[in-house]
Parts: sequence; structure tokens; C-alpha cells
Amino acid sequence: MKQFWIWPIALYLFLGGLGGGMMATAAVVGLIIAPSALTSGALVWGVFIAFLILGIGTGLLVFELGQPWIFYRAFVTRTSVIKWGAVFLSISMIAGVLFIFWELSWFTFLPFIPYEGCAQVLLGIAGIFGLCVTIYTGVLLSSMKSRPFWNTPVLPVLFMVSGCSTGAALLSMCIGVWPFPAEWLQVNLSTPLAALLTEELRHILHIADAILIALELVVLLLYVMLQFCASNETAKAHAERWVRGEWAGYFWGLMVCCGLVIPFLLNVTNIGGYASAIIALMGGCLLRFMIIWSYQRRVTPAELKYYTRLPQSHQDFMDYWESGKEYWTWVTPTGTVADAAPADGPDEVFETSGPNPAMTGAQ
Amino acid sequence: MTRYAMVMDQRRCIGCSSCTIACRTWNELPIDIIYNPVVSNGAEGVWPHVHMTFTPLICMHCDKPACVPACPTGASRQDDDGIVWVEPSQCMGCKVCANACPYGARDMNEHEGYIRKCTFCKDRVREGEQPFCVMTCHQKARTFGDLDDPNSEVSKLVNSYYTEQVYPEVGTEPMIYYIPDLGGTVQ
Repeated sequence: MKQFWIWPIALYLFLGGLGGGMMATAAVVGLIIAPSALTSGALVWGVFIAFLILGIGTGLLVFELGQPWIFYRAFVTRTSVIKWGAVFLSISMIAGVLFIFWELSWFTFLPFIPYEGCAQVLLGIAGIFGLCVTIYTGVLLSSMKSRPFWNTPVLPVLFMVSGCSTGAALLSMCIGVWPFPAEWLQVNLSTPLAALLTEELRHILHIADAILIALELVVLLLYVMLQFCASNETAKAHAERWVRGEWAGYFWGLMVCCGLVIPFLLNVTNIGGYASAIIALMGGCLLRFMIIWSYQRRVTPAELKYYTRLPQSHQDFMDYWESGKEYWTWVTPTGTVADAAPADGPDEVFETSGPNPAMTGAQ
Repeated sequence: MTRYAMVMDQRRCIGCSSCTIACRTWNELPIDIIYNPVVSNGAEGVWPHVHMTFTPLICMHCDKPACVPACPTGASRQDDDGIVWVEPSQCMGCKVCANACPYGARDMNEHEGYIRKCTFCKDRVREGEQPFCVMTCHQKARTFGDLDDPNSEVSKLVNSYYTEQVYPEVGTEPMIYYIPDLGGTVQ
């Protein structure tokens, strides 16, 4: 069957979960675990990266639209999941960027802004709505009754945990980092005290990431097991493909082993550093791609037969025909129009066939 | 109230695909999009007791469509007479409705960037005419009408014959009823 959502959406689901999870973990670190991280400016770079990631994800989302110039219409209805996702994304990004401006003291010229607790409120809003973004990416897929492999309440939980674990992994790389001139930040991140705090926070984030990864492993196995035992044939077929079919290597080898188990061990022993974070991110990305590619809806055998026998790329053929090019004479056995001439003597074929009489007559 | 519905008599359908072609002509479809395929499992049974059943598929114009609440732009909408349609100028082409539809009735018009789907020929129906596929069907396998009108042919067929729907368990309450062939099921 036709696949409507391809790599931009898969990448967006990963980036949205990652950015939202980063905002959420940054808020937890800044508001609960270590309020001193907030005042010392250790979180600014992490929130900026999260903002950037959400921005890239939103860009992909808009780029993927059929009519991108009316993307603002995503806000006009009340009940649609995408509308709420767009709202969550916008609020999280706006609060995040305002937090960065606040930390950089770009607002001090405004007299009416309350100075006390503004950073905490902004970071809290960004974190809460970031968490909502991670949940919504799962709800978007699980709300579809037509796609049996997506239509399960475990999927939002899986996406939330995965988003938070990848977010914590990336935040542990970004915390205490400030690549721009230090005077912009107005606090010095390279003092021994700040370095100690950064080291301590990294350790905490690694432990938190290990817990989240363990949770994600449980939820992921639960999800696949539920679908493996599903009564629905389509969902079962997809789960078969994941567990022991053609994707078993990706699932067990790359996603479970490299994406979850190894980062867990590296984080627990605290020897991972950046390596564990990077492979955890790749595992999260692979998860989104595999889920988006498990898109089949329930079809009857007759319908499947009809659509698989239908010739593809009709429109390409028509475009070539109308453009007056002669490519249309070279149709490959798969039914697609070949862009290049045949390998054996292209010029001969081109010259001997000449302009097609039907073509010249039609134009 | 008007509630448009269609009855497909599978005892009459011979799988000629006239409706597919007629629909394409009337709606001026892009060549990659098919609103109403006529699918079949091929010959079934053991000779000499063989039969072949054709199932004309179409947008079910569900009473509780899955696609309309999924649409974030409000371009996908359902009218009071039950016709589900898409306003092209408001559709941003996010394809969420095409994913939400359990029947595969929606397709993306890649070349113009919006979703296209069967409109029950609402331009014809609202002027008192039949949809183009119904008018074309020379086997009279398709019957179109108002389900709320007790004297309409659709209402009589649905209420007096054994009819089936496609995937009623999804809960969308599809408005296309099938009279199955040879006591079989819709497939």
C-alpha cells in the first residue's frame, strides 16, 4: 500500500522527541535537581540546542507539506492532534528562546518584566510543553485506528520515555558548555566551582539516562510483544518482521543492543561520556524510522492484489509525454520511465528511432 | 434530513471497471489517483463449483469518519447530508487524513499538493442527479440515494436485504452497503 509519511516525518518525530525531551530534562535539572545550574548559566547551551532541534524538526514538518505556504492553518481547528502538537511545539520553542534571552540578559532594558523567578517560569513552561511534544508525537500515531501497528496506547509512552532518554543523553553533552564569548553569558563557566558542578550534573544525567533507558527497554519490548500477540494480522505481521523477520538484525542488533543495552551499561559505569549519548541518539532515530516504516493499514487480499498489480509512475510517464521529450520510448520492465538512455549504444537508439511521429503530430 | 448512501450489489457487478474510468473522467483525476477500484480475489472454489466476486471500493462517506477529526486545517469536512470532502485551497497536505482512513480512500495529489478523495459527485448530487459512477454502471450494481427517505431505493434495499459493510468494527459507520454475492462476505 502507499506510504504517505516518509523520512521527513520519521526524522521530525525523532527530533521533536529529542528536543522536547531535552527541554523537559533541562527543566527538571534547573528547577528540581540543581537550581544553582540555572543561576550559573550551565543550561543555556542545552536549551539553545533543544530549541534548534525543535526548529529543524518543525522545518522538516513544513517542508514535507504539500502546500507549505498555508502551514498556519494547522492552528485553526480545535480537536486535531496535529493542531495540539503545533501549539505545544510553538509554546515550548518560544518559552525556550525567551529563557535564553533572559539568561543572556537581553531583556534588562524592559522595565515592566518581573525580574524575580522569570527564568524559572520560562524554563518550566518550556519543559512542560516539551514533555507534551514528546507525548504528542506518539499520540499522533496511536490515534490512527486504521494503522494497527501504531494504534496502541503503549506508543505514546514509548515515545515519551525515548524522547526523555535521548534528551537526557544530549543534555549531558551540552551541559556546562558555552562556545560563544564568555562575556555574553555574564557568568564564568570555567571556574573550578562551575566545572565541578558541570561534572556532578553530567554524572546525575548519566544515571537518570540509565534509568530512562532501562524503562525504555521495558516499554519497547512490551510494545513489540503486545503487537506480536495481537489478534490483528497486520500488526502481527509487522511485529514478526521486527522480531524475527527481515528487520530482526536492525531491531535486536542496532536498536536493542547498540541503542539501549550498551548505553545503559556505559551510563551505569559512567565511562561512556559522549559515546553512549551518540549511540543512544542513533538508537532513538532508528526507532522512529522503523515505526514510520511499519505503516501498513489492514487490507483485504483482493485489495492488495489490485494495488500491487497497478503500474507505478503513471504521472512521470505523462510528464515526459507532455514535455515532448523522447524518454517515453524507453520504459524499463518495472514500469518506470528510465531517465538515462540504455547502456548499449544510446546514441544509436536515439538516432535510429528519431522523433516519434505520434509526438510531433500531437503537438 | 438527507443522508446519502450507496448500495453495491455484488451479485450484479461483473468487474468491468467502468465506474473506475467514469470517475476518472468526471473528476478529472491525476493519473496516479483512483477513487473507486474494483478488486477481486480471482476465481474461487473448486471446479466445477467456481465463482468470482468483485468488490467495488470507494470512500465510505462514514457517519463518524476517522479522517475529518484528524484534519488540523479544517479543509476536510463533512456536510449535513453526510458527504465527506476536502477543500483544496485550505488543505496544507499533511497527509494525516490519508493515514487515518481505514479504507485507503484518500490519496495525495503530489503534483498540486493537496489531498483528493471521492466527493460522492456532490456537484451532480446537489442538482438532483446521480453520481457519475452510478449513472455509468450498466449492470445497475450501484444504487445511490437518501437513506433517511423510506421510499428511496437505497433505503428499501438496506432495510430488506442482507447487507454488509467494510470494517464496521472500526466504528466509523460506513455508508456504503454491500449485498454480497453467493452468500459470501465482502472481501
